[in-house]
Amino acid sequence: MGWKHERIDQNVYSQGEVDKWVYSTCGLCSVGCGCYVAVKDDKIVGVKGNGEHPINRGRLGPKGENQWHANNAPDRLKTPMIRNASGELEPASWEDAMRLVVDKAKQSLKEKGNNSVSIYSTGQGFFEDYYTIAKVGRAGLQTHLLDANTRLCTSTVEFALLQSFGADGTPASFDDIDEAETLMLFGHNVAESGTVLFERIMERKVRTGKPYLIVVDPRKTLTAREADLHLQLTPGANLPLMNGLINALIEQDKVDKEFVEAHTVGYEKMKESVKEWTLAKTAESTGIPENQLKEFYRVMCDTPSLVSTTLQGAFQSAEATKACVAINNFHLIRGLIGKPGCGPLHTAGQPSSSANRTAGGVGTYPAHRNPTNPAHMKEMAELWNVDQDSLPAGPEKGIEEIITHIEKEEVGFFWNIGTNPLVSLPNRHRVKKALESVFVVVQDPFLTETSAVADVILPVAMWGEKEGTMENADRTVTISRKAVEPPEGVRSDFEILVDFAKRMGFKDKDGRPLVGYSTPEECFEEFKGTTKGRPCDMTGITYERLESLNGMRWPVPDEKSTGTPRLYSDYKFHTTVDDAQVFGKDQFTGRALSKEEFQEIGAEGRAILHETHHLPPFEQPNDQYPMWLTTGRSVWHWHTRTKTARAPMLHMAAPHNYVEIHAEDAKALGIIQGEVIRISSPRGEIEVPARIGETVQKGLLFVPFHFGNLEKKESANSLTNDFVDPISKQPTYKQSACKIEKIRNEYKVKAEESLEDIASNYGLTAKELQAANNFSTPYDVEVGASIEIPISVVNTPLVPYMPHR
Amino acid sequence: MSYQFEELFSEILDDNRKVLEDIEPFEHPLVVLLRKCLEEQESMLERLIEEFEEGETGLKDIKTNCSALFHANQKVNPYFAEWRRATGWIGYKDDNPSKELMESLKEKLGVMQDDLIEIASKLDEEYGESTTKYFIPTFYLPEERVN
Repeated sequence: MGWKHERIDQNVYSQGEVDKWVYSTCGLCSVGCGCYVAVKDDKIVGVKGNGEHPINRGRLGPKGENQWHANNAPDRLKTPMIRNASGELEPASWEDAMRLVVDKAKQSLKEKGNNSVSIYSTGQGFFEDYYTIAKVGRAGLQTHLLDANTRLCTSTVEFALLQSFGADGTPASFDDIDEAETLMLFGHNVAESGTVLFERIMERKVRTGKPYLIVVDPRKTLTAREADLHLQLTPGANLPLMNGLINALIEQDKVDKEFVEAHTVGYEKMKESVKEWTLAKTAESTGIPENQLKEFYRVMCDTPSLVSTTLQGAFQSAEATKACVAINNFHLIRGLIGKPGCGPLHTAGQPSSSANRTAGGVGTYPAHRNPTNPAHMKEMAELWNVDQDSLPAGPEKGIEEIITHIEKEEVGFFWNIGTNPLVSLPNRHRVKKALESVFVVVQDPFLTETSAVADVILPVAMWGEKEGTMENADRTVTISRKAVEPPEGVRSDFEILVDFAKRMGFKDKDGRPLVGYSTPEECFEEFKGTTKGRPCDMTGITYERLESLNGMRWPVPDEKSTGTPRLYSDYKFHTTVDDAQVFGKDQFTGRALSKEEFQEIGAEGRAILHETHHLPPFEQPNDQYPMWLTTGRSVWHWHTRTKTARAPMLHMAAPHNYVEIHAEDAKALGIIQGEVIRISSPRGEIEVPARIGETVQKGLLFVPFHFGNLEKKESANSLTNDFVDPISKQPTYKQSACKIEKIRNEYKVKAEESLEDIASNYGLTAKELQAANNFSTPYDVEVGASIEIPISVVNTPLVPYMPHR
Repeated sequence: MSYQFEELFSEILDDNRKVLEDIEPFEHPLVVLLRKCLEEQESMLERLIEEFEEGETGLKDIKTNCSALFHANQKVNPYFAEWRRATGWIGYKDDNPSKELMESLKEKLGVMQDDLIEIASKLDEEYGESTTKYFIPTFYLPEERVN
């Protein structure tokens, strides 16, 4: 247990004592903090941390503490809605809404075939939802088009793990962070995206001086400010950095040769692929000074233990999978895996995106089964008692491919569950146009931006109003109990999916209902049965044990096991043909490999070292769009703010969007603090206030992706390109090209007017107006001269959040 | 049947070579990926044609190469579509491909895909769905049976 002391964070608004505290798990980020839901008069009135829970020992982050406000928001949807003939959404009964959903699904299947139906789900549901989506989608609808917003979140994790180790499941855990001498946070702004984990890291660091903290990030984030070594690389340089490091390790003859010989394949090819990455070339490509790189190499090549974590800075960047595979390569050739304080820990953004992967709601089949391996498909057919031939086979499709299928009019039914693609997908104008052309079901507690393209809306229960299990970023499976009944007229995702299966008449081979369970716990027990003998074996998990033990990390192979803190301590990897979750992809093009090609690699239980040839980002600054644009998160908001915008404290802390710009760029352009500027890219434009500082490097702009009101020009994803990583198909949000334009009025100076007079007329200070016009003194103003007046200046404060201090 | 396969593979090979020639001057990272996939297709097509030229051919002789061919083609189309979008965003300037070239490439790649769909259908007839679904991607298989 990493924490020395518990601290119970609590956020409750109740007149008098609460009636009860109900066991739960935080439903926001991927850390998976244990908590209790406060209930009074059958309403959720707050939350407190679980002091016994090893992950957080009672602590909660700002978003976690405030998540319950959304449950009581006055604009909760409490009835289904159907778009009528005049294009308006109007309230409908569940019977009418579900009948329409089923009719449209059947119509699409009949007219366009099985692959015309698509389910696009989430990383914020429960195992039980995902497993049901897997069963309904694959064995019921028999469609190939199952994807989720996990594609935007953690598909790179999955594919980096599959490429190197043959199966999903991040090798190290949070316990290893507690023991590591060195921690590399690679594109992982944990201070803002996983505040409690950051607090855990910093609590130890303040107490012991450990771990040595390396932060790889093009921005000087809150995390980077605490680093012993911040590598502020240029956008798109993740892989060059790792290639330089690996080459240095090889040149310094510090490779763990025994480990490489005994437990890996592919070393020579991998070595060949990085040999050009000299110190000078790496410095040039990454923009990191040579002396910093030398220090990086020294620490990384000599440290006795190392955990490397990754998040969106790695996953949503150019060469995402290759960079994460390079991190795996480094751990393998140093033998720093499967030991205490060691291993890659590719994390996640959402509370249960890992669960969707494990349950087979996205990507591969349940419990890490390979859709290209007939033996695995036979098992799946037997487990589900369906005809093997009816199950879709082969590699998965990503959401960007599904959008293309919609554009080609090949999709007739798009079921959107627990996600808001009109704000979260890149190049959102294209997405909107595509979704306007297809029948869309939106399943959400609120009218999100995506409702604009919905034909049917199904209102769903939220956290605290339903029961189920999740998997966090370090394989910990947790349970959330139902604290209150959902509002009248609202159903859980699970209930809707089960009802849909029933209405569709899905049957198994013997004519029994395909979905035979009716409660989440029955569903979990069935899912658990599919995991036996697989990498994510959950045989020893029960709802009761999850609560009494405060979660367990899979595998949990029997009732005596309390879970597995770290994978591969026996150095046996899932790379035999019969065991592998997939047969891998070409490391450069992403082309799926066949069984025979996988066999040729000859891994047979050893880890695979892959080549990591560099390719520049698909879009880069150019004459017309000279700036880099990157997008990301703020500590105060979660995804598209469906929940956090309804928590008063969070909304007040960060009420609107902004763009970060480096002070020197702002000065050169004469942009003043808070000035509303136009950022445009070939896809669209936004107009947001500038936050001037040194968080971003010169030449780079940063826009949070949380804001996306369709009526406002504020969405980062109006600007982003929709290219994807060749292997994981995750969009490359972090590298787009853009330009800045000032939005100004012209003003002719009149006689006897001072700059101060003019400024005060527009609510500005003389200093601001002087800066906006690049005047060296306030006296540069001459009668009759034209000066520029910023059309709008908005105060953009951000409340600081650094609890570890 | 062998003759039909050989003929179709040869047609695809011709188109493949033309596309490779057409994109030769361009170095956008997406073209690098597109080219690599097309080169892989070319290599697989040559092997398959050789296989069919030799006469009687069984599934085991063509399965791996077919799988690589179809899966490479499954990457060709999105890479081309992405490059096309990228080119539109950058603008059709002197050192970029022309709109006309993009249209002609689109057409050739479309024909290539149609030919592959035809081959997939014939392979499906010959070897049955239980087999083909594990080495031919779903979207090349006959529409009435897409799993």
